[in-house]
Amino acid sequence: MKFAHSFSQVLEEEDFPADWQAAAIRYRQLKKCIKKVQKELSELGLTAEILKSLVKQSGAMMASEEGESTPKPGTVQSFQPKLVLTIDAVDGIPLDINFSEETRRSLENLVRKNTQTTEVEDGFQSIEVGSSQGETRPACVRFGRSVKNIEITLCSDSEFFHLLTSELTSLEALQSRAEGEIKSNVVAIGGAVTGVAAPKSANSKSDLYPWREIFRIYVESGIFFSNRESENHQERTVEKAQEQLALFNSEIHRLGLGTKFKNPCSLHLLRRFIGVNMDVLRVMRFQAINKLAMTKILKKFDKRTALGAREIFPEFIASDSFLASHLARAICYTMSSSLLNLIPQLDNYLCPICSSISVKPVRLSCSHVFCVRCLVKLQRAQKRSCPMCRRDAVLEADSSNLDLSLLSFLKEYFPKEAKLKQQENEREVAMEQWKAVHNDIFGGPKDCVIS
Amino acid sequence: MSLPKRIIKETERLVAEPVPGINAVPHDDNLRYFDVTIHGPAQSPYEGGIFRLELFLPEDYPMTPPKIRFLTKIYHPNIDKLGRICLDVLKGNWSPALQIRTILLSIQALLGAPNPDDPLANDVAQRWKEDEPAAIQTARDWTRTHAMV
Ligand SMILES: [Zn+2]
Ligand SMILES: [Zn+2]
Repeated sequence: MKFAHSFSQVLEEEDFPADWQAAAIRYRQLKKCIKKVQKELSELGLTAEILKSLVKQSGAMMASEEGESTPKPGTVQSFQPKLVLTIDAVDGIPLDINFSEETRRSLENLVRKNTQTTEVEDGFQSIEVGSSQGETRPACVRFGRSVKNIEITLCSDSEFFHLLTSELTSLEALQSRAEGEIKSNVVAIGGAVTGVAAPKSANSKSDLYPWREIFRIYVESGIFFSNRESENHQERTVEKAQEQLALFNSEIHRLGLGTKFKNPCSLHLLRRFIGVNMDVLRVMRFQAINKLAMTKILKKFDKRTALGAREIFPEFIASDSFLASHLARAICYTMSSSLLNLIPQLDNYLCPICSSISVKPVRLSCSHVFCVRCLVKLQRAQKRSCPMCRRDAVLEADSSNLDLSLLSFLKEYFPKEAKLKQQENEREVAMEQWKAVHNDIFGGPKDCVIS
Repeated sequence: MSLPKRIIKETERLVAEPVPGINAVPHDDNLRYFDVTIHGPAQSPYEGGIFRLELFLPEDYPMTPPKIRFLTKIYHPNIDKLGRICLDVLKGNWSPALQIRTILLSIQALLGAPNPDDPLANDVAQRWKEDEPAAIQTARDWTRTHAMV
């Protein structure tokens, strides 16, 4: 009652589009359906209490009815819930131990009713629930044991699950539609940003630097997934993602990045970029509330019927993308490949020794790249092996190892950083020369130069 | 003397994303000098102990490895009385692409897997080889006495 109310309230308040509202889980209808299942079961003489005690007695799953031959995911129509009672076909001894009289009687009735239509091998049947678990009764062993399954089709049960699965199908369709829209939006923004952020050589009003900063902060904010190794890059909850997006937003404002644009289109694009992230959040919120509705309804179903649907149903639809929550992952993938990665980030072009831009970049025969200054230091110290892979590749390197295309790429995309590094290198060389002269004069050892 | 970018970056990351069980904080007045603590690994004789170390980045770091020493007394075949550590990556196998965090992880691993065949503390190693249970018990006792304060 309470949840039904708050569920519909949330759906309204969140301002989801009409077609989303229509696709949301029909919680009230499913609840009515549970009542029907309850009625049907009690007509069979099976109250929730009896079913519960059956499950407890056998330790087996009463509710193995959810399709042993699991249909292909998505083809939900093909699935037919059944109550399967496994009975001992030979054993004349009636039920085991602790069932109450009432339970025993209703089960016997049930079996009698159903065995009329199924083939009976050997006269009187007794019920044993989940006999495959092997409750070893001497009598059974002596006569050799054959078991038999009695299947009772539950009509209203099947109605409940059909309703629920069709709900999920429409939710899934809705979600993949939303996902498609968001992705194409991301790709479009990516294309536009590549234009306004093209390097100066191609674009005199280049917004390369502010956009790079925006994307760097965006990635650092870890909005949909944690960016911490220690947290295993875990997916964020909707609430946390919302928080992180707000942090990103305020950081952009704090740094005044919106005011650093030269191209008026950039500001508009920034709004679109933030908008698309809000869209993802909205889908996530919708997904979360519907997931909750589903969990609640299955819980209710189990409480009222003791058929154990909660454990089996999610498994049955496990590959369903609605529950697999791959949305954030899929969109983040598109976001990285079609938007964020279009602007190279400095962190990917750092020399692993000095942690500043690899200018000028030297590529060893093992293909690892270092800045020329660090390589020279390695060579002077007579270090033979590559710091990354330990291959003997350092001493053989010479000017032919200069990676010229990488150098021009770095100069184009990181003009400020490259220039600064160049100056630092020159200063360092000058310092060394000065020291060398100084040492010459005062007779110091020459190889102190590089220390 | 300004601090090289490499050291700044490493320090930032150590603070922002600390390694579980390892803590490294630079001195305010000397950013090349770190106070380090390492938690003894679970299922080792050092479990439950918190070991203090000092770490210094020499002038030509990362061309040469950091200098590291245990300050807390520890009974370990690869660590001597002065706290010096016998670890290949701190000596000849050092690579300038290694970092403070990777080195500290290696030291933590060394606590979990003592290697008496490559000893620094010969008497400890000897005992470790002759009577391992007794040596482990001593390591445990030392941990309780010196590293659980
Ligand atoms: Zn370098
Ligand atoms: Zn290499």
